[in-house]
Amino acid sequence: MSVNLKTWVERPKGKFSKFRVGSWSSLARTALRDRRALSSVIGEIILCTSVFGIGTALWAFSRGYMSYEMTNYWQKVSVNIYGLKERFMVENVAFNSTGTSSGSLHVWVYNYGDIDIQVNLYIFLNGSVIAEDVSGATITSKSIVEFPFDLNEVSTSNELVIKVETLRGNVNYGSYTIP
Amino acid sequence: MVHTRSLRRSRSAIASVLGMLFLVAIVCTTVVPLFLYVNNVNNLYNHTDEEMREFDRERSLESLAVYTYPIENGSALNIHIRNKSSLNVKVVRIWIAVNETYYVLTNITALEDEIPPATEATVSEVGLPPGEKIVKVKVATSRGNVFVSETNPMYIWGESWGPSYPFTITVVMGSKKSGWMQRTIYVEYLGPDESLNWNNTVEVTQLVHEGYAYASVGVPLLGVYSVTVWDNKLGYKHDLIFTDSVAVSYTIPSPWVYVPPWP
Repeated sequence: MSVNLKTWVERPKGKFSKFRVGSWSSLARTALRDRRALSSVIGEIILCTSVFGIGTALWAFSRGYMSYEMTNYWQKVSVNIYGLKERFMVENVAFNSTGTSSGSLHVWVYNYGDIDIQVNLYIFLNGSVIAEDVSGATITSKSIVEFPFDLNEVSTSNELVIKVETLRGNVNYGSYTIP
Repeated sequence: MVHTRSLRRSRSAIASVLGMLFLVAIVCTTVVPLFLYVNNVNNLYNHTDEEMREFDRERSLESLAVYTYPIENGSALNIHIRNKSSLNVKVVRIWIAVNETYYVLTNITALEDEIPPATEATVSEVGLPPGEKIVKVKVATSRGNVFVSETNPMYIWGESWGPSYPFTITVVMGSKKSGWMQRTIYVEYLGPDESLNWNNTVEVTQLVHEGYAYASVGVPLLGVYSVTVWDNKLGYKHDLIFTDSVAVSYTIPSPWVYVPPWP
């Protein structure tokens, strides 16, 4: 079968379709149209890839940020929870006089809570701190710790205020009148 | 042509659908878990808060009556603890101050177990240093309460001990108005045995609030006392104003007797 190179015959598949007789120019147009289709597919792939990439990045960022926020939130709330759980008191105070205006003060602090605490102690006389222990001593749960202080310039019937402050910020007071 | 456009439109939808899927995935894997996590943490905080409130409430409900009395001529001490609350109470320490020197009793055998409500525990024969002394006792509980002895301070010297008896009969006198009240009464009690009989004139000078004045008469031991109270006028027993039997027990260590108001 010989083929006329000048013309080509396109035979549509439909039953009633007519034969279309095209030239090389129409063939080129068709090819161009196909190329346009190809570029739209490529564009679509690029778009999908971009959406996938951005989505994945956004998802990873969200996960990371969520993890960060979770940790941050837990740290803040756990500090409050531990603060809520702290329970302690000044259980007993004793004073041993060593001179006319000096002596040693013994303060017993009882931790009756379920968690360990770290405390600083301050002894006030007339609103001024006359002795302190800011070592942040640890008192384990359900135990009692004695804090000794050497006091000067105190006299009988002086009223001392004992302030116990935990490192989590809770405060408890006791008072004692020197006998 | 129409078919191609439709196909293109549908291809564009793939990216939108993909984007939407990512959005849903982000919501499901980050926002929802974050919300649930925050909710759980808040629940934990609230639960802890409630738990500690309950703990504080129980702590405030604790109530112990502590009575101490010397034995063996003042060389030892009995400590009687009655749980007046509706909760079990665990005594963790007993502080005994003898002339301002503190002794602490821990791991006490008699107090190994908690004291159930409305029951008593007695720590017997706690040794004391010899000689004249002022003794003060207080007990500490596991919930962080401290209860001082009703008989603080006790003056113990030689073979006897001071006037601050561990038990008292409280004479309650009504008054028609608030303000200073002066009254002299004569109180007599007959103890469970003859050695415990006592009588004396009691001067009452008190600033009366809410219409009552109080006078306490110490009794040395538990038991039933026959109490008689007279108004004392012009230096002698004038009018009999009260007579009855009064029981002094660990349950009611300071019973009250009411006498008529000053006429």
